[in-house]
Amino acid sequence: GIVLLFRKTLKAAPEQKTPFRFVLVGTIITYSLLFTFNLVLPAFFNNARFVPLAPIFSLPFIVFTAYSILRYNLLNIKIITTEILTFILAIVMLFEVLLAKELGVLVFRVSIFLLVLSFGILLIRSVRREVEQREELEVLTKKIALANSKLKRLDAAKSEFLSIASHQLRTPLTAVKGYVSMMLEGTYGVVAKKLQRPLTNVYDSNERLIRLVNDLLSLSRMESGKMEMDWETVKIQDIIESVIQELNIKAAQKNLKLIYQKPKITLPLVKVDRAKMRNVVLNIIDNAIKYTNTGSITTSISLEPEKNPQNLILRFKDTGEGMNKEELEKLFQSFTRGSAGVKNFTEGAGLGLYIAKQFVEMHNGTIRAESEGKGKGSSFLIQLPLT
Amino acid sequence: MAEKTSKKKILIVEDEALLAEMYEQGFVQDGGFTVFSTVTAEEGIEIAKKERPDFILLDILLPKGDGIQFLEMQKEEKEIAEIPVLVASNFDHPPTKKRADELGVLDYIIKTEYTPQQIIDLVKEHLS
Repeated sequence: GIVLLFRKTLKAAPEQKTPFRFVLVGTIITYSLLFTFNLVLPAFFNNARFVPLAPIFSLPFIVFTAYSILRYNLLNIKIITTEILTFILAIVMLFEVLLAKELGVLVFRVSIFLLVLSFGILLIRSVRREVEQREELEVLTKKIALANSKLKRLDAAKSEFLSIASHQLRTPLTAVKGYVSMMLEGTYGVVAKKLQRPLTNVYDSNERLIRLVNDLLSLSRMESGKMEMDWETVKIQDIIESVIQELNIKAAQKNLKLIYQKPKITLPLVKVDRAKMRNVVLNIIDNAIKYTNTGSITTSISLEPEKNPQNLILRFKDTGEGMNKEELEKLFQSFTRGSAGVKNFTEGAGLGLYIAKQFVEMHNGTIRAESEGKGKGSSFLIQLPLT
Repeated sequence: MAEKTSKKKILIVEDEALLAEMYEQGFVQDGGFTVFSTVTAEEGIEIAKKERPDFILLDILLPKGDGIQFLEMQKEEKEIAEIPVLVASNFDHPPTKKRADELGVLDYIIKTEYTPQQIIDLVKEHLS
């Protein structure tokens, strides 16, 4: 018996090994106690004092088996209980049949017996089906939990991959940016005049690549819901001034003026992700420089306490190519360019404004563009909620 | 009487030889710095303990350990725990940034956003 039980434990499926082990342990303890106190002691030591305790020695087997049944659902208690109860009821009905003295009563009791038996069998089948379905559900739930855990790991791996891939792309770009800037700054000696423009072109091209890598990383993070916000309370004027300072040289190269209309009143602080908001402003002004051949780009910040008390308003107005209705509609989609962009062979993958819109919306703000038509310039309007 | 040097000591922990050389040249050319440079976090801690730099410029992705481990080791060594650290890395990974902030770095900048001169200016601004 123990050998059979041991074999069954070894062959059992992993999830069934534990309950079988409990039964095996209980059986071994009981058999050991019985063997020692009910066989060895009386037979070899003439001590039969413990023989009446045999029922107590069977307790370990009962306790361990009961624990396995209740804790690990060994032998499927629901089915067994239903079968036992049905069996008892059927036996009672059978006795009633056997004890019937009259034909009429016999016929009646036989009918009841057959009815009880039929319904009992149906009930047992139904309980079996229910138990099987529950077991299937448990297996499925475990599979889903496993798949979910795998998905989470893959998701984390993807996020890490994006960060590492962008790191690898950025390393050579950092070297080019660094060395060329140092050359232009004279770290390696005075640069010949005829070399200045080519070096500046290399620097600018490299900056475009850097922005492209940044944009692709941002896009990837947004699409996988991994974009995080780093909130700070800032003066929005500081961000605008910093971007204008950065882009002044680029604008000057096209003889464009970057005009910043400083606010006449003290503006409230706003809660933004500084890097993302800077990226938005940079994209808009840089875009305006791309699509403007003469004139200026004017930036202003204002409040409209009566019309729009909840928001800070940023306006960027250029004297550029302007846009028709169709271009305005597609403007904030990814990988699109206005027809002016195609005609003038302007650079850029068409991601900048799409990402700018996503970033503004992450701030619970709005962005829109306006233009009176081709050749009439454009305006961009951003509304940011005040804290 | 020996003249007291006014040069600040900077430790650069950077595993990309090209970039380490570039930053080293930048700081040396500036004239106000004595530069120590290393490739691994562990060596960085050893140099920091020996030379007691005024500033540490730290990359994150390093061979044998990383910048976060450097910061954790730094916090455990009393004599170098207070040396200001600027993380300059191209590893734009929000959880790593958060951990670096928790470990008290001055800032976590992405290298491609800054020229060497801009990084030098940041360091000088902090040290002034």
